[in-house]
Amino acid sequence: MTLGQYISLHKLGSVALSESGTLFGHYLQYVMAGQPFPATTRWDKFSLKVDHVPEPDGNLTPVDLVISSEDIPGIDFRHLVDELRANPNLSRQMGRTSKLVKRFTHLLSQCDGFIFLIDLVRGGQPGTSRSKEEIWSIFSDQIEPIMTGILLGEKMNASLTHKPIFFIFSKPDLHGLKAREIEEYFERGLAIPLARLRRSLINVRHYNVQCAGWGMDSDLDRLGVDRLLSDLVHAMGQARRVA
Amino acid sequence: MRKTGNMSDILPRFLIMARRRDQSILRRFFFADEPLLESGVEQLVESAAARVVVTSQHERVRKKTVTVPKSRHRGVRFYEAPEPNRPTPERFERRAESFPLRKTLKISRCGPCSGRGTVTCGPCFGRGQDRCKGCHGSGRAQSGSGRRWRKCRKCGGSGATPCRSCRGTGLRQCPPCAGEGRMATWKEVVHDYRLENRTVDRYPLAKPSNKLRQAFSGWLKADSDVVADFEPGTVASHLGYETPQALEVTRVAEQDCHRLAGEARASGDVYLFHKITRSLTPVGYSVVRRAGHALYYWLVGRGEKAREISPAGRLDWLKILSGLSLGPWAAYSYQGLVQAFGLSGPLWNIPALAELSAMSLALGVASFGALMLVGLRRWLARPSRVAALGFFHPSGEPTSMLPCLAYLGSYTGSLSVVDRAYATQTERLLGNLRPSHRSETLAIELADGRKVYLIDVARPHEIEDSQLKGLLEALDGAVILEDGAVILEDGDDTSALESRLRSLGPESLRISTARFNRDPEADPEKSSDLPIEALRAAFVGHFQADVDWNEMFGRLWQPVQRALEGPRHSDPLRSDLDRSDIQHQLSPSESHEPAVEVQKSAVPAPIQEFDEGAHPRSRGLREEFPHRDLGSVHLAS
Repeated sequence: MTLGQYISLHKLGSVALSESGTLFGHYLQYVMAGQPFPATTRWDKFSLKVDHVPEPDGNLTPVDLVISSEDIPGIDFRHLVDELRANPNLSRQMGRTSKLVKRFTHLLSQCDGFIFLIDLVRGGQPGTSRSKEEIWSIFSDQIEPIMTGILLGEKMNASLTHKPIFFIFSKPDLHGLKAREIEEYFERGLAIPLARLRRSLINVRHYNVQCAGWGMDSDLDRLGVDRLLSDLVHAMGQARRVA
Repeated sequence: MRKTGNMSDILPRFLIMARRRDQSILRRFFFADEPLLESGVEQLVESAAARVVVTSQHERVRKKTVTVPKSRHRGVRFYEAPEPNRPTPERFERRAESFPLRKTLKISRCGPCSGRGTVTCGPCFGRGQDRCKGCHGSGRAQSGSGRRWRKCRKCGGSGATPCRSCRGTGLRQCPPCAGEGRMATWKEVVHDYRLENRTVDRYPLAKPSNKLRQAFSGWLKADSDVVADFEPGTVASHLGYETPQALEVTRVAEQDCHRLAGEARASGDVYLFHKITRSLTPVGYSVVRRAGHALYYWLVGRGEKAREISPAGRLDWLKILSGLSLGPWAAYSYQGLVQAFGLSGPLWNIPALAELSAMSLALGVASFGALMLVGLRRWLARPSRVAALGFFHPSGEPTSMLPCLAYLGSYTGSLSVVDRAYATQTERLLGNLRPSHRSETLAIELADGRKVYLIDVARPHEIEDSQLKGLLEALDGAVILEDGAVILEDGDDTSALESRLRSLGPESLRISTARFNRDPEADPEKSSDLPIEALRAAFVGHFQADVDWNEMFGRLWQPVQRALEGPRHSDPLRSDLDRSDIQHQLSPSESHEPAVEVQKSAVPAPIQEFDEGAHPRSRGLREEFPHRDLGSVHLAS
């Protein structure tokens, strides 16, 4: 939503109305009202067409890029995570994959990059301090099944090479971890799967974000959205620079 | 004296089996390559089934009422209370003990004779006389010639004789009281000692194989065996009375107890159970999955008596067909040689071969081409040799060596974990070490592509020589970890273990020794011993900027390197390893074009334009973590 609003305001691209116009308008109501989004209950596709990418020096780099998301409802993704945790060996030959897993593996092969939103508050009380072992467990519970699925997808379909995987950690005001701590927990706690992914030339990056809030008169400047967009685009390595 | 324990650990035996299969030339020709060690053990079910011997020693306690003629109670030893001499389990035998209770003794009048001591004679109905059998009661009998009747000599003409049963008195001695007219009655407590066995024949596991059934047939023929059925996937911490299998057996035994107790309640008896023994023979299996094909490796039994059932290999039909197609080609070549050398005679010219060779030219060319393609494919896709290394601790206690190697090596980019054991390694790294009786493994791939299979051997001092010898033959090297803070008993120290390994292992086995420190508070850089626990604690909880993880990993890797004595391909010991330049770690075969693209994509490197100047936080982090690649962009809140 924020990316779509930003590129629209700054005329860097447009939201694909044919696919996500209704969805955009639906969620915009909640943003304007300052209310949280409702839980995702169906598979929604959100598509942005990016024509230019802002650079730190203020220039714009013309690109031809479509950022599309296959949003997976939270409950479905939990089922997927549980299945990956219980049955990490997914393969068609085994014949035990469910429709959900098949769709996930299909997504892995079709997408050019992946963004995973990680909620570090899950499983604990917001604002309360937790031990390092608890934080390790949180990382392990949420991210490890994802890594497992990605590694399996990589094993099944080598097209994951060079594809970036982004982990976005939200709600820093609730989980209380600093960016440096998140980075270290991420790099250390997931050292083993990260090493395998990077060895397979899969680009793994992580970001820490916090809800900035919108205002009717806000251009969403000085919030880092431009850097996020630029980093996404350049890390993808798929942006075609138009001379 | 060395303990003669059982090596019930399936993993070392799996390793031995895998190595033997890999070295079999004949198998390699007909069967597809099975690089078992690369895939690692996907699933390990240590006690999927068990053969159980259940011996129940019962003591059944019941009460019995005894009634005898009065005089006979004088010879009975009465007790004030029962004093059973209960046998020990070792001396348990089937017998009964009775304890007549004095307080229950009663003297009463005999009921059947009402105290008279005599009863009416039954045969003569109390008359005292029976019909004379000589004259049938008539009193007369014919004389010898049969013409004249005379008086019956037996009865004297009365027609009746005295009753033989009562001798003419018409009364007999009362049988219950033996003519005494009084009865003695008392109650006895009887302790019945019994042995009971239960035999149930069942096939274990959800995926039985014919070979496994055959392996069990020997056990099933034995007496008093119970083969219990368990759900696969159950991993028991150890075999014994605490395992789910033992609980299942207990439940079966308890069913017997309930059954008997139910019977006892109906009769008023009481049951006491001295001992229920259970002898478990484990059946374990591991699942190795390679390209979607599952291999099941079975281990039936424990220790010396364990029987290994190798998984069925996959026949390589391409190999077999290519080999068979050599026949016509060989025939054609033979005919050609015969003609070329001008050999003649029935010995050399075989008509059948001539006809065959004429038709087989095309087939021979095709098969030769196929063989070349197969050979080229196999050579290009040949699996890299897997080195195996064992870690031995004199006391057998687990250490954090494997998880530290896994995590530090992955963190520094020196290696990657090949198998899916990282969930287990996470658990171990957080302090939950492996059970002391169970070995664990870790399959890693070095930066140069070489694969190493690490196994942390549990309780080597309890492994019998024959088993240890087999394990050592499957290893390329061994690392002995000596706890610098523990003084071990005589005979179990490091030198004794090393001597044992050298005596049992092959000459090619390389052995290295390393001392480690268990103190989690030790300074990793100042400790002369391997600071395994300190490194583990620091990696988990202390985000200190002054720890050189590359150097720390190098120290951990040194004894491993010595044991392997391999060439320093990737040189994990390099202290100048710069993680931001990961492409140096990649083997040439894995690099991709274009080179610039590889560098950008392989490394989550920060975008230079953003890191320098515009984002002081990122720059600060880079200064704080010089060895860590900072691929993140931190957005302002």
